[in-house]
Amino acid sequence: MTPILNFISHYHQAFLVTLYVILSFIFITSSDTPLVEGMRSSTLTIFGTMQEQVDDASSYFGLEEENRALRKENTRLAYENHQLQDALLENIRLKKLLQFEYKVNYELIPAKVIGNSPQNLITGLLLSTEELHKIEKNAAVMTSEGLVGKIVKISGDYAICQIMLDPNSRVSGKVQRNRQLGMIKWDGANGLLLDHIPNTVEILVGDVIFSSGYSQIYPANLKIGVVNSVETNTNDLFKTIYVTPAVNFNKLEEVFIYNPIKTDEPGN
Amino acid sequence: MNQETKYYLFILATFGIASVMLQSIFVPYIEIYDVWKPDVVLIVVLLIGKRFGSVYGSTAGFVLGLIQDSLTTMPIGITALPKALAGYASGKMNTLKMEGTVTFLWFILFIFLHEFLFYFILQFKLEISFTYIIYSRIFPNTIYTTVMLWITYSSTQKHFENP
Repeated sequence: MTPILNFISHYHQAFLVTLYVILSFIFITSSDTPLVEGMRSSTLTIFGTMQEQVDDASSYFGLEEENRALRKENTRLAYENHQLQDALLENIRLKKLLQFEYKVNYELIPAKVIGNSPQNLITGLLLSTEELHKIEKNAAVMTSEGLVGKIVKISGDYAICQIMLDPNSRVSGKVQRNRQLGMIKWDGANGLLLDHIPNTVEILVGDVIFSSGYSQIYPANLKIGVVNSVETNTNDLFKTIYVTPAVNFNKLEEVFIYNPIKTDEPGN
Repeated sequence: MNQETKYYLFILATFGIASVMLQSIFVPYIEIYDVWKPDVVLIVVLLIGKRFGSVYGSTAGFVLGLIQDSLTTMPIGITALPKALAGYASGKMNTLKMEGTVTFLWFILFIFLHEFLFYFILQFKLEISFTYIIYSRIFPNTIYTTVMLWITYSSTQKHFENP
């Protein structure tokens, strides 16, 4: 035994790093095991709590400027609201005439963005809200500008949101003008690609892309982005269509989590 | 537990955790072209490796890498692997007693290899060419991280100097 122990002791540094490499490979290939999920949950809870405190402290210094901007926005929205009230009343009158029943079958849960995924490639957001118990994994995340992504991990009051710039993200989208369906994915830089659009279909720069609703994750008609360039490849079946995201992923402070209300729940 | 191990744990807990939080909260504000950004966690791993040696360096890289991975949508281990190797390599400089400019040249190589390995593993999930990743991400991030390493090392030198 002694020569073996001596050998291990002599090369203990190399053995240790080899062990780390092997463990890393095991973790990479077994992402859904309870051990790995548990590790993710506890890290998310601990770091979420700490980051929330740091985020609160750092946001304090920008409060005056934020307050001014919000007051300006509030005034603009109040003005728009007055104008929309007339339209709403008219809409309700017309719906009554047509015997339409107006029902909202979802709620939007506000969540604070407390950080980005701490990697070179930003693929997710760390969210914090006390209402996370209401939502389930894969709930869609949005802002007033459009679709952000979906929830991939929940732990206590904290969640990880996979944004559309994640290499694994795929969203079914449709072109607003001609209803053509395609697949939205990351373009490798800071934008999106609309894939699976045949060369024979006309797509124009400026076309708006919405979520198609043909998915159990993303609701229909959420704005995804605007087409900024179209390339037709003669050697390929599909066009290469670059899309500018509707949401600026670098400047998100608050998002909303889409929570469909189940119709069989009491009180709905 | 000896004094050196206690000091290592203190540095890992303070600088390590602070670096993960900085990477998450503040680094997006210093991005260039919304793509290039330094890896603050790697900087701390390299400095810990240089100060404490290969065993502590690779452990710091592995632990901080796992924490980073746990807070992302990526598979756990994808950052831990290159960071453990970078910490190990940096620790070897401690054994060889390297100092000055030569140290930084080695650091540049380790940062490049770290980025290369990270994106090499990741490319199996990407549908873009690896050549494009090399010049659009790996080279710029290596330069940016090196600059930040120099700034960090200059301002925190007393904590990472060999006894």
